[in-house]
Amino acid sequence: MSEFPLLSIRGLGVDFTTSRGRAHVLRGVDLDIARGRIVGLVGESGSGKSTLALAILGLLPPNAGSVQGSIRFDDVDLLNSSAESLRSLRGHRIAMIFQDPMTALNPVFTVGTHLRDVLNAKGSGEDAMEHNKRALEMLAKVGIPDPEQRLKAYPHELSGGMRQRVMIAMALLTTPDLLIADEPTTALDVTIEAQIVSLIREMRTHVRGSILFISHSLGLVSELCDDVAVMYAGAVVEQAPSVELFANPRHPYTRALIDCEIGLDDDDGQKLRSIPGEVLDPLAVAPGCTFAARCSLAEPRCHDQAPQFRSVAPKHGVACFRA
Amino acid sequence: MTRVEPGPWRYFASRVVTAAFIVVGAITLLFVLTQLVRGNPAEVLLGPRATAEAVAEFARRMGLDLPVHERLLQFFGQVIRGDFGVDIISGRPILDMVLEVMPFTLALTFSAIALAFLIGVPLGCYAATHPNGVGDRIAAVLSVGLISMPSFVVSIYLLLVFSIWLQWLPVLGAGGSGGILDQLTRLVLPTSALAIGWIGYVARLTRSSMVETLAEPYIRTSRAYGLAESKIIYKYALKNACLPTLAVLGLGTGRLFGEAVFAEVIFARPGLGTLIYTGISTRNYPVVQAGVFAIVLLFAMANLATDMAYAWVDPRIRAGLRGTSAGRR
Ligand SMILES: Nc1ncnc2c1ncn2[C@@H]1O[C@H](COP(=O)(O)OP(=O)(O)O)[C@@H](O)[C@H]1O
Ligand SMILES: [Mg+2]
Repeated sequence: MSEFPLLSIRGLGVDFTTSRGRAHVLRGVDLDIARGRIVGLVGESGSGKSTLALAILGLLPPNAGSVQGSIRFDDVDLLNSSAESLRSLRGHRIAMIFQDPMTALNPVFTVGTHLRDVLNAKGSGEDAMEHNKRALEMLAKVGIPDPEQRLKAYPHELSGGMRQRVMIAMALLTTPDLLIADEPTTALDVTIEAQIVSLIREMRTHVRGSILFISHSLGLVSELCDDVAVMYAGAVVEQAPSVELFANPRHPYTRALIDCEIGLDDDDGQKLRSIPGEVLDPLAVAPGCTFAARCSLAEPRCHDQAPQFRSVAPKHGVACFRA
Repeated sequence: MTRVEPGPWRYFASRVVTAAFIVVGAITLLFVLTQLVRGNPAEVLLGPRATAEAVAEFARRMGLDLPVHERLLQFFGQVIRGDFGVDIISGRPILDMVLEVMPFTLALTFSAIALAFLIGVPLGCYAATHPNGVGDRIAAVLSVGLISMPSFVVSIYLLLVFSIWLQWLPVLGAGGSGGILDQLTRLVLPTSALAIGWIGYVARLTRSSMVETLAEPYIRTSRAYGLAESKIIYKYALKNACLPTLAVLGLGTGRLFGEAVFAEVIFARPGLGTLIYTGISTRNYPVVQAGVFAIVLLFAMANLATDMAYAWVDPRIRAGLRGTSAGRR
């Protein structure tokens, strides 16, 4: 087993051209995903989690400007790969589950078409019969009752939870080395969310690779993930194994986040907003720490010098002068 | 009334009812219009030198002495039986005359639609996938130009250039007896004249809905799974993007049949258009009536066919989850 991480992101910066000016959505992200681990990426809505996921896939929207930094996947330099080699990685070694299952499936094609074409694109050399059989098995595996019928169903004939199971089935069919799940339960109601989370936990037995599990809920991530990365205003401010992070949070933002969630039954963005102050505007230029304006520990240098991501304990990194 | 189950049958039934309404409405309108013809139709038909007795006798035979509502019912009855009477000029049953020329009009309009789609859709796809490129710009200018050009003007120019100046293609007629090849060559110019405006129209529509579709999240899903770009465009996106084009086509056939009338007259082809045109110029109103009715029927059927095609492409329509034309644009 090699030591270097499966995915390694350094100084990733992404700007979007908007009508109001340049939005700095990712401001130098550092993130490692070790092999075979579930890494949780937490951050409030708008912190740039989905943009990060799309940057990994090479599917940033057209108004994204030039991308800074580096993304290394295994031994591939993703930011300097041709479109064709990126395409052959997608749906083969990297798969993605999207946030909103209501819009992520094509309304005029059946579930079966979606699943078979994923296998087709992967180019396994099997015939259509074999693809159909694999699709059926996978539907059963992700807990879809009556899979023969569902294979012929159109997305609108399925509930949100069932559609998300179909998305998960698509992802699992590719047996990826890296599975990115972007808030797979946010669009679902609470009981369905619990079912999907337990399905993802079960998935570990099928996926030998790593999982990047994106969520705005620290509670959900702590249940599910081996490692946690905390994101704030376009940068990862702290990353550590789950147990370590909750026992020993170092970044003031992580601490505030944990304080906000402790003792509360349900999780949602509401509590995160109880940190005083406002999130940094993506249009703003911030030479210093992005959290400085809201940080009770901030000192003068925090405002004009960006803290580097550094190791404070084994496998525990943080971007803060005061940590 | 028994309750119709939601789903495909209910959708089908509602479209058939709509088509029936179009036809009934059009027949009524047609009837009203013939009532508005100035003077006594019998006089008009028999000409100024007819005797009063002849006019009265003729009016009685045509049922013109009955009250309006009875005549309307009678008219409906005739239409349902397909009995449009006998043409006073040729002495032939009018129904036969209509059925004889209908295939020519159908061949012309169908080949025009087919041509418009075969060229317009790929053109639109190309423009959508190369936005603001040279090809896209040329296509934009061309299609706007083509859309705004009336088809009878196009017809005349095509005739002048290809038949008279270059002499590549036969001038006039349908080549009724000259075999299939002759018929097809004579179809080329009128079909092109009709199709040209539609190519631009279809291309523009396809382009805009294609651009919209390519930005949909489900297309991003296809990309995230490494599907080939050509498959994404021509399979996953096109099936969604052709829906608005289809919806417009249904209503557009009305305009197309209208344009076909001009094309037939200009190219001296037999067809419903020529039939109506000669009918009008000889004041042969029963023939005009029957011809217009045939066009209305074709229009209603084309609409029905479009609705069916729409439902075939979009499963949500079959399920009754969304309407046709109104839903997307
Ligand atoms: N295509 C885009 N153009 C401009 N701004 C964008 C675009 N996509 C995302 N953003 C902005 O980037 C920020 C981060 O968005 P996103 O990555 O979706 O965050 P998250 O997934 O954490 O909620 C938001 O402020 C959002 O408005
Ligand atoms: Mg998001």
